[in-house]
Amino acid sequence: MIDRFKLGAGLVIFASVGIFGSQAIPWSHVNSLSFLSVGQGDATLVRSEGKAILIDGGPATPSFDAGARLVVPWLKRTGVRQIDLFVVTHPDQDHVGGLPGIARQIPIREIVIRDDFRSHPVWQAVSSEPALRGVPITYLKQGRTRKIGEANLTFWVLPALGTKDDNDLSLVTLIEIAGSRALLTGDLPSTGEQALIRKGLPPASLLKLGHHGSSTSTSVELLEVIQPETAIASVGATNNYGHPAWQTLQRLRRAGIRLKRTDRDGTLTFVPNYGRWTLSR
Amino acid sequence: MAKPLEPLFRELEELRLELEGRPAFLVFLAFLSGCGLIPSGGWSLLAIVPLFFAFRKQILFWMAGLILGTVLSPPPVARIQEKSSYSGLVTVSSVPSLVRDSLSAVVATPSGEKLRTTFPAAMVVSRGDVFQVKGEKIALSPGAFAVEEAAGRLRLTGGVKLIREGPAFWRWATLTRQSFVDFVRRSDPQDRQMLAAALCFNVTSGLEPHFYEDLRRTGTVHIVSTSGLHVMVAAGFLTLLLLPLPIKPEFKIGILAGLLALYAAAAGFRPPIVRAALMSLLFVGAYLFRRQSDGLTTLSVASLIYLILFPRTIQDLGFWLSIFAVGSLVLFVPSARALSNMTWREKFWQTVKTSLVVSLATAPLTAWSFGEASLIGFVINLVVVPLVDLAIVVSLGAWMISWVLPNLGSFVYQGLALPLLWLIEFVINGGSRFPLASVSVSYFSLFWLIPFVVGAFLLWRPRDRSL
Ligand SMILES: [Zn+2]
Repeated sequence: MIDRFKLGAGLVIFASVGIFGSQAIPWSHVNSLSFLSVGQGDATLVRSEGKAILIDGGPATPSFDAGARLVVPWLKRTGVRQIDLFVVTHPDQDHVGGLPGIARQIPIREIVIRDDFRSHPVWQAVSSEPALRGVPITYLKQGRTRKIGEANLTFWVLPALGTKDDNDLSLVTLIEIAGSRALLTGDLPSTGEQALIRKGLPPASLLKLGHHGSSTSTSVELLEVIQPETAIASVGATNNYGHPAWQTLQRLRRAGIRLKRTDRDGTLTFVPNYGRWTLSR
Repeated sequence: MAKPLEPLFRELEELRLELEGRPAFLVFLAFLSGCGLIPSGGWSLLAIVPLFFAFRKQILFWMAGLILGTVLSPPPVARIQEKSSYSGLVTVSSVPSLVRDSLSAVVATPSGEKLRTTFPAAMVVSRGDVFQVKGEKIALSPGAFAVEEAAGRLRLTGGVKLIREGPAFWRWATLTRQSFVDFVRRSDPQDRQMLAAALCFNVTSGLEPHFYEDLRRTGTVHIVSTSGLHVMVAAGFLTLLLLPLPIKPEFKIGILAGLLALYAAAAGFRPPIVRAALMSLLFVGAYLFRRQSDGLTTLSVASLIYLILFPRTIQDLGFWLSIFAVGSLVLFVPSARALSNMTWREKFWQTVKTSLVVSLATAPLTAWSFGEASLIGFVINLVVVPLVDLAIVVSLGAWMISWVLPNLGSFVYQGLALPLLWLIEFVINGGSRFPLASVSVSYFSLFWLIPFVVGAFLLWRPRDRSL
């Protein structure tokens, strides 16, 4: 027997399933920090009050452009219609390769990169792409803080150590949203980490492992200063570099730090939670 | 006709008769359909089909609504894309709202173009004021104002000169709000959030961003922004003050209308607030003249009046949230008489049910706009809403006392209102810490609301209503 109330309840339940049962997208309108699963490379999305900040754009090879094929779909799916700030840690293919592919489909309001890379050949090639023409580029000569939405970004420009390695010059970003901090060091090696510690770093409950978890980054000293609760390894599955390195994993284990990796756990989205970060999904 | 369906048809017929007896509601439905006629390319006319089959007797009513809606439906705003400089007169066309450290308002140029602009907080700006300004017209910040009535923003670069003051009414409203904010500041200089000002007058400039997040997670944003709850509470409070006066009901309703209009203007004159004020007035009027008021009719009339006066409101999310919240109340909450016959235990469960119903009714729209649905909203609201009601009455009362006896007013505020406000913050703060306080919801089509609303109407038991 169908009566009107059963029919009504049925319709309401049907509609509710349609509305709330649709694929949940993590926190598209609130503060969040997502480490996108882009294979062997980096792409970190910060969202705050409707603003979007992308730190590195994932890798691109002649056969696969992670920017266009992985980052852009994720941005569109989570409702990002423009990138308010794009941060280039350093112009290596696994960090900046995806940028043109992203810029072709999603408008970028501003790009930040260290001044040291102004005439870097890879950066010259990337920034002369038609999609990036007209996008204002800020060349950082020294550290600086920026507030976008509710997110406070602190950029550290560490002195060059006389080496020619781009990794040494990685732009370091500290993200602080609602009292929760996360540190992104790009591909900075441990020598750079020493310089960073001397600058006076506050603790952060989230740390993206430098250089994809390579053994030459993430020193014990850094871990002691940062005291992270969770570490993220942004790595590709069965990558050729052996990232993350077992030495790094051992250092994390000794310090009691939980590890999440984008190759096994997929894209990781965290939301600030009173000084800590909660894994959203 | 299959036999098992016969009772269903009989029940549907009963429901049809109930709705047929509420022409205002039918006019409202047809009006909405008319408003959507041009933007939807005629598709919204399909909404008329069920009306035609079900309510042929009332055809004149809903045809009137349809035509009215079509005529009044707001034309789309041509947004500003290019930057250009502007120098000349502007008229303030909205009640300026206090944001962080400035006043945000919509202004109209003599050619009728509307622009959102910010004035320095130290200025006294009221609706209707005319200023000589210099600045540049720029595009709206993307995504910021999905339903913004303004075509763009006006960034002031030069000095702002007051040319002519607007109507005294709007100035009084500004001064009323300012007087309350000053009272709160004076009574508790430590209080930077000024929650009392947010609850009573929608002054949300002091609220911390993380408190907003707490409100969202606990499904209680409505207490500081959109619902017009405070207007309802204030209207009840004012009515209680007016009732013992030995004057005719006509005068009482007149005084109440004047006070409510001033209050709505001081609280920002946003659509939900004005709609709530209109509804309160209709309810109180029905009460004073000993007429039975029907919730659905009252809601429809109040919404219609508002939409006819300000058609663009049809795109305002706050307006729709308040319609869903109040609509669920008038459909599913038993009459005051039925409530008074209940035992305490029944009353308690009825309150739980009410909170659940309102949370469920507003969940789809909040999920659509914030991408988030609060799971504990109905529990938190159960605790918070009575506290908010009480806090509003106590704060307003203390403020009124302070007109005559400033120190006593502050004393009452510190002794009675502050503990309530602390408790509200405490509950909202604590609630938001639950790991599963809220879940994220992806973007979905608003067409899902059709089965949702139709289903809700089927669940309605008309005999239980008559508020
Ligand atoms: Zn790298």
